[in-house]
Amino acid sequence: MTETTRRSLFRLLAATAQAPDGLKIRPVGRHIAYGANPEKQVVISWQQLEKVNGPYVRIATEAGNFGAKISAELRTLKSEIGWQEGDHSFPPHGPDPLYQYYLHVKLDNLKPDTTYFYVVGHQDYDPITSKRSGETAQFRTAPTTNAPFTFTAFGDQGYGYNARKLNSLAKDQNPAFHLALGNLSYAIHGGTKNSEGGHTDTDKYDAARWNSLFAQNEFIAQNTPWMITLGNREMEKWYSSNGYGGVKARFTMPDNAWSGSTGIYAWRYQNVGLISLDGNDICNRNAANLDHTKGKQLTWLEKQLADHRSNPKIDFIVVYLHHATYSTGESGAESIAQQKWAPLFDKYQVDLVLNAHNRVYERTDPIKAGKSTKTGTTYITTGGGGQALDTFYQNAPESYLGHEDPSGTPTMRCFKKNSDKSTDTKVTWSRVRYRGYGITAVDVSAKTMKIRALDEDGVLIDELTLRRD
Amino acid sequence: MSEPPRRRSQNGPRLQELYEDARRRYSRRGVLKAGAAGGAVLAAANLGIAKAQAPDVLIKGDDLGQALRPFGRHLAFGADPTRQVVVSWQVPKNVRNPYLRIGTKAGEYGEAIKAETRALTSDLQWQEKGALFTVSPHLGKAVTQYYQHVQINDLVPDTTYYYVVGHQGFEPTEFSTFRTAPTTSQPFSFTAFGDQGVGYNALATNSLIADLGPQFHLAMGDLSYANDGEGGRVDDAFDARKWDSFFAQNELVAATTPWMVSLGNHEMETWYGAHGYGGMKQRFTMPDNAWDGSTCIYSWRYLNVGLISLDGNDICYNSDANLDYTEGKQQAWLKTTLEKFRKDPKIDFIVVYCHQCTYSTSGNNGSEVGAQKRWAPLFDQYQVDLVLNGHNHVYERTDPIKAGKGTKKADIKSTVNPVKDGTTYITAGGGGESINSWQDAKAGDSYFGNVKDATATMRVDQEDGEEKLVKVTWSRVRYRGYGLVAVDVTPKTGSTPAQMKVRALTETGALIDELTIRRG
Repeated sequence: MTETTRRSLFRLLAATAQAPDGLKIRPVGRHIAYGANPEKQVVISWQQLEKVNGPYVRIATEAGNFGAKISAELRTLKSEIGWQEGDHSFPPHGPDPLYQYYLHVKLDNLKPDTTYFYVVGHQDYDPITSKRSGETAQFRTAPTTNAPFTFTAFGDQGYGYNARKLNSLAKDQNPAFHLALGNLSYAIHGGTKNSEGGHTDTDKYDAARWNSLFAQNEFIAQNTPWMITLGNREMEKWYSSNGYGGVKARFTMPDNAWSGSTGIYAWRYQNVGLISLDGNDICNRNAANLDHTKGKQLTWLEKQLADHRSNPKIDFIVVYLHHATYSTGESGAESIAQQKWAPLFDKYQVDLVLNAHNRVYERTDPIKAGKSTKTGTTYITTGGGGQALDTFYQNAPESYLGHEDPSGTPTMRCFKKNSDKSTDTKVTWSRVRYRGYGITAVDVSAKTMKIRALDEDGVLIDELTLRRD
Repeated sequence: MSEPPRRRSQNGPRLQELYEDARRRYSRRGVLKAGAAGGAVLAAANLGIAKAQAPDVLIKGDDLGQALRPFGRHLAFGADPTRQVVVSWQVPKNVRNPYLRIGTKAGEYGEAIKAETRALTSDLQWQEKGALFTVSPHLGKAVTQYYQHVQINDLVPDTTYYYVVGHQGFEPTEFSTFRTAPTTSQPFSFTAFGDQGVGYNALATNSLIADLGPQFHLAMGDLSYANDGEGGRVDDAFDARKWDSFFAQNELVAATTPWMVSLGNHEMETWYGAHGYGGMKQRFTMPDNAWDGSTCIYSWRYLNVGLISLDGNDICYNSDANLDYTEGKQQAWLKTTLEKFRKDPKIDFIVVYCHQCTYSTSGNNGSEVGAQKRWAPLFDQYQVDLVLNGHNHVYERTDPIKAGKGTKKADIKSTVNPVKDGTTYITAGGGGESINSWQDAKAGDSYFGNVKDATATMRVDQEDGEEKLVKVTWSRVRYRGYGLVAVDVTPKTGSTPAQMKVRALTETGALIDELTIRRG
């Protein structure tokens, strides 16, 4: 008998033994995402710790007045215990394998600029009658006409007290959406240094850490679309699709680059065109998925940048991904991004590139053709999302608002393929460096984007205004 | 529904004015309003709202932290749960004018009741060995945690209250609820586990509690594992902020369900003074009515059940940092309280809960000779019905025990009579942190649907440190897994006596054990 049926049998027996009504399995870890058109498209996702029947969403534009049940798509993710090294003991009675049940509902015909309320339930759990506070969550579709808005970003979050604090700080900014720049859960919590992810032999993996992540983030992600991009630790090679089978079960991103693209997508929120890239495709140091798109991503990127730049509705182009194009952090910058992507960023005047990977905050001067300029692209590493902190390569000193320090020689290292050896370059463009936890908030209005970097207590450590005239 | 009690804040009307002023100045959040007709609860629940817009307030200077939101709400009953509830929470900074507002309707709250702030400062030096994440170089030399507590003593019994917590610069939009105990007998439930920690197993066991909807939960020590050492040692690995994760994790249940704690060895955080309980005193407000200054040693009554929380560190020879620290006070108080409870005509059942095991056959922490010699005779004398504990990270239930011996075989789904049979001891240490093993692995697991009766071995470390192994036959149910204990209490009706139905459930709700306790 399999573990699942044994447990189902248990529940049946429990039921005959006068089990309380309570055993109805509440949904956990609600998180939402925008579709490519955030005026009309939102995805509601959540998890059930056990398999349930008839999972659904009900939505409303007036609280309490919920519409008919909309069936959810169940994506079951199976993880063998043998793959894993857990934070907690795996109990001898299982479950083995571990099943995670993710539910997703795509809503495609919403009204723009409208607040929707929603509840999630299933055959044995009615959120309307549960009498529990916090059952109703809400989201707001994007407006069609320009109005100021804010979005937030960080990478390398993980699960823990730093992540909790930064979630709270992000929520305080009341963002229209959040960009989670890869290395999301740290379910891959160990491995070969600088090469974690993508290696079933060396990676230490604990799939249930995703349960903790979603539970932790529900606080904000149930109301704030949580747009993710892929980090090296999302290469969970035990699953199919280059190790992205897990991410595909857990998240529903627009993924409109091509049929089957994962974490590679473009969308527009008001006057900002956004593009999410997969940095694993160009990463030398950890080459597990190097060139896995066989050039498709690069071709798509150029076409997408051209589309965005020629779109009269778009003022700013923001590209986000996990890996650093330009950074002086210890974990380095990607030479392939510099060679293949940066020329496109130059050509199509990308305004801002946001990334993580180095667990620090760093902002460059505007860069064009690899050099500081006044009018090129600004690159920001915002990897202090909670999991840990890195150092700056060769211990370049911090330099941030109120603590500017022009000394030291910031040096960028670019790893060679599958190697710890790097090519090092002294750079002048590293303008702000801060080694601490924090978030980046971007306040967008008609012709300006004001970028604020906040430390974990909300103190401003950097501010820059991008203006297109 | 009755009217919410009218109250004035300790500061008179000033606080409300300050708060109104703050609201005007920091007005980027929706104003808390009474719900519209036809959906009061939901409307109030959804005032988080607000169109996405750039914040009009930059957090800076003196206002730093004022806009940062409260987290980790957790409730406790006072000794009289019909009238006394404590609302506790945490804020990330030393905010101004933290307050609680309560009402009997969502969205209609009374005046702000000022909270008592208890700040807890922890040197980073203590935490070098235990830090879970890289310590930010900007953190300074210590972290300070700001815990808020409001004790309310004059509530109306059997009433659901809605509450919000906030402070100057932060206007709450998310409410929670609690319900005071009734005064007239009716069925109720409570749950219990120990050794919870922080993580996905704890999420699952919490989620199960939320599904069961008990009137209160007993958290039987080794709560957060912020102290990941043995407990009571200055070289224990420690990360004070793991408590932040713990409270944030448990808010799911503890914001609505009183969370009654007892002390485990991991709660001996020796750096704080007060026998290492200085941290606990800041974080929790338990009834603590054993004597002036007792910590997590208290008694209370919920309907027909008298409950007693003990500190097992006082009798523990294995982690002996606090051995005998009460200098006999706990022992004397326990006897007095048991005597009082057994005489109380309102009380049918006496439930004692603590962290350490009086009787258990798990080898990881064994059983406590101190509890067997000092406490068990009192449990016998006053016919304690049920003793619940954690410490060993397993589920184990004994046959009823009297004078150290099993008195009858109590199979799963059988009924015991404590008056005649003695006390049932349950170890429910599968709250989430990890799973332990049996002293004699051959005894193996034996549980509902998989009964394998066996002689098990109990390890009892003696006063002189010598390890004593005893073969026992009272170990009736053994299960190595995560889960909890749920107790459904039914009052006497007509000729049917009162009963407690004790169920052990895995973290996914599967039945492991069931026992009915009925007196007489």
